[in-house]
Amino acid sequence: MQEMGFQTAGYEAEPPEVMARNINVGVRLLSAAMVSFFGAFLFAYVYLKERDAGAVWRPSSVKVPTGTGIGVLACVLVSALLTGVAVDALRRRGEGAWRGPAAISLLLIYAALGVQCYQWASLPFTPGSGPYASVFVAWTGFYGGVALLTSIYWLQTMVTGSFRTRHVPAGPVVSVAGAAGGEGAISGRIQVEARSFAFYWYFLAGVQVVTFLLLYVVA
Amino acid sequence: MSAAAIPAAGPVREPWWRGLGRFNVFTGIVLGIGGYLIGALVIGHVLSKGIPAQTETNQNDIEFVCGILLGIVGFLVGMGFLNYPIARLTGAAPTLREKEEKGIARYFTLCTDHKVVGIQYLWGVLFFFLVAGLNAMLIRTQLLYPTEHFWSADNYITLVGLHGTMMMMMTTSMVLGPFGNYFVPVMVGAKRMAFPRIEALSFWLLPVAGVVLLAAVGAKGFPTGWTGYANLSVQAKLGMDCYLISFALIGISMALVGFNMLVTVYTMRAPGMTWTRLPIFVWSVIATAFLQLLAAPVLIAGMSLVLLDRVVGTTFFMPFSGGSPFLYENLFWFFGHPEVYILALPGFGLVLEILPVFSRKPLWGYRLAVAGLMGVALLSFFVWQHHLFVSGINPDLRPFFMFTTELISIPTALVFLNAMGTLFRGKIRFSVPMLFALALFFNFFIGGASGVFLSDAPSDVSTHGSFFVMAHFHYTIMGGLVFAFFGGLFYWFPKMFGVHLNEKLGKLQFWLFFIFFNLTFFPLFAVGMLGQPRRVSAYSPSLQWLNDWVTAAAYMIGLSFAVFVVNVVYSCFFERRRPEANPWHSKGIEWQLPTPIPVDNFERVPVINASPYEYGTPEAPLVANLNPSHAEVVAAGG
Ligand SMILES: [Cu+2]
Repeated sequence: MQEMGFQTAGYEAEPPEVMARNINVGVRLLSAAMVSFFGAFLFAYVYLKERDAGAVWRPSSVKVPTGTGIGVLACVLVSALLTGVAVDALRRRGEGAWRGPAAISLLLIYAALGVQCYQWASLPFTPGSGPYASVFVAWTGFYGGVALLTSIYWLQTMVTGSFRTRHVPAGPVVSVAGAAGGEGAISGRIQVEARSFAFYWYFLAGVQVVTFLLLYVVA
Repeated sequence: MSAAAIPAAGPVREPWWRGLGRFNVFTGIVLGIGGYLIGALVIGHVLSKGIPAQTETNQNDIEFVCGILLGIVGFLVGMGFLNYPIARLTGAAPTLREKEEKGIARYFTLCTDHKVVGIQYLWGVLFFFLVAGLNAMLIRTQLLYPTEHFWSADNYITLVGLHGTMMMMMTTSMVLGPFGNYFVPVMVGAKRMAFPRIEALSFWLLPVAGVVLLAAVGAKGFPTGWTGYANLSVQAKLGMDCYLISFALIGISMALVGFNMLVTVYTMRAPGMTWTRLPIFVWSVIATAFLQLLAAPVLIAGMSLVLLDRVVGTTFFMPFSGGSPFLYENLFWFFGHPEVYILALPGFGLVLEILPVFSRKPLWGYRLAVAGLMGVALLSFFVWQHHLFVSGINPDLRPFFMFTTELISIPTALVFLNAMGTLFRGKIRFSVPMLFALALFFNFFIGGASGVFLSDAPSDVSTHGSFFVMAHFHYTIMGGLVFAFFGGLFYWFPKMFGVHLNEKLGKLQFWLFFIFFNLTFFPLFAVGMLGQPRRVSAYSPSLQWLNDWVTAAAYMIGLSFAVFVVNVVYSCFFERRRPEANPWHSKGIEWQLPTPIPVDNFERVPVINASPYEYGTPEAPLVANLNPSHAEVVAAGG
């Protein structure tokens, strides 16, 4: 029993800003790793397109599925916008005001994934129809499988957690030095975590814009 | 209340087999096998229907890959890795701990104690090091004769690929895995790693990757060596899928380790642990972690693209459909060269950590060492095409990559300067860790100098693809990293296990290893210059005596590792020499703590008062104040 007492005195009891700061630093590193990861697809795109001598990059039979592409982009951008609205509401009016827009934002990421899955099911070409088709399948595949799924996971843990504890009074006010852009005292971990998530999701929305330009506009 | 009044205060003992049903390795393996069967026989079978390239040949990659992927998921579910995420998705509050009780069983579970993960890593890495080392013995056995003797050319190349890939995969974790996880939190004064579950995951991906790679033996092997060049890899048999998936898993594990280490060092340093008081080993971990975080994702992407070519039918690397093998070579080496420094840098950090302790002098040129480590890390992203000098790349690119490659020797040389400055007029003790540390500089000097010949495009033309290259990188990786690893192991073994490894056996291992390592690999420079190619089992009969010499010496390296195994068994189970609290008289924080280190490391967050290298200064304070007053914490900025 003595050992148990010692354990609970350990890091389980540490102030919430420690984890908040870890997440805040971690999300920037995670985004850097994502730059590397999607950079590989970008490199494949540029390399294969520029080397293309015999017009096999995208034969005329390979039609760009622009409609569904716009669908994914729209869902992602509106969701990112709502994430910003939610963070703003969080700062001004607290967690209760954050919950609504955050939940809609989450639903929109699900919608983006849904449209993406529909696009794969109705793709007007096969993965083997040349380098463009290959890059398209790989890039959208990993965007859906890595970017969208990690965002869904993170946002959903926050939203469901927040709904579950909505009747519990807010925790003590803690100060997060450095992590919250020097804005001083904020209440609870969800505040910083919501901002960290917003950073990640803005970044991924930016990746989606680049994706759209390269795969649908320039093609 | 007397003890007799409440007889059963402890937990009720239950039969041992009950434990098997809870999330651990056993349930992981069971669900892993189940996952493989469902993936291959159901999902893969359905998905590959109507694709004649898969179903009407004797090789169905879709079934095989689905099987492996679902097997991996099954294993992770069985280990309990999904319990927490699912709970969180349904709104459970975040927690940090998992299975941090005592006893042997926790080593076979998802445990979030960074010291347990360090020890899991140690035995995991050593196990795969042993397997890959035995592969090396088999390779050398084949090379006793200039013609095929023991294995066919097919099996020989698979053997070479297994040895190379497994070594490259496992040695990425050889220092950061055991020592990084175990000691970095302690050395920065933290109670834990920043993300304990991610830490546990980064370890458990390692044995999974090892097993998947070994499964290639049962799937007709793979013909590419450790570099997995497309488009040979796209056309290869099923075993290639094992290589691709296992290497991608290692990439994920590497990126997670780097991520976790960086956050830990950045945010969890104790008050007073300024950047200039950070142990140099931690700096080397930072440099390595940056490489892992930024280079490993490119590896994951590269492996995935080959897998897509093989399974989904994309054409990334198929020239006749608009793809390009060069795409693979660039992606691979963009990761592959930083990988070399992912191996080398922690070794440097480790020996620079050891040198001051055994010379009783401060680390000479601390800032220079940091600059050297960071400089190497940065430059290593700009040299990758030196692997492609003879591949048919644009010749105008060669001078640039020659220049950057030769430039990288400057920050590397800084580390040598630090070592010489530290040793100069030191009171040197030639204990086992010090011997290994000193040997690194001897070996790495030969490795680095031979690298100059390979970075130089004209001389690379005649040495590329020969045993010269092979000797070069064994001098850097084995002569560097593996020596550093053993140095670190002898140095920290008393702290990790509370047992002092036998010095005499340690010295015997060291001298056998050092002498026969050089007798093995130095002649291989000559063998390469005389024209013997890598990865081919037949060679000119005139080279047989040199090859036989090398094989005999290589067996002796194997013997030196046998001495190590004997040492561990003898020291732990027979001699059982309890070490003093601080056997090497080191100033490191880890030696201020009791052995074994408690679950939370520090009872209270410590305050750091000094750099860990103030040897020879009698009035220097202890590095960490383990029981600081409130005023001291505030004064240190906590
Ligand atoms: Cu290189």
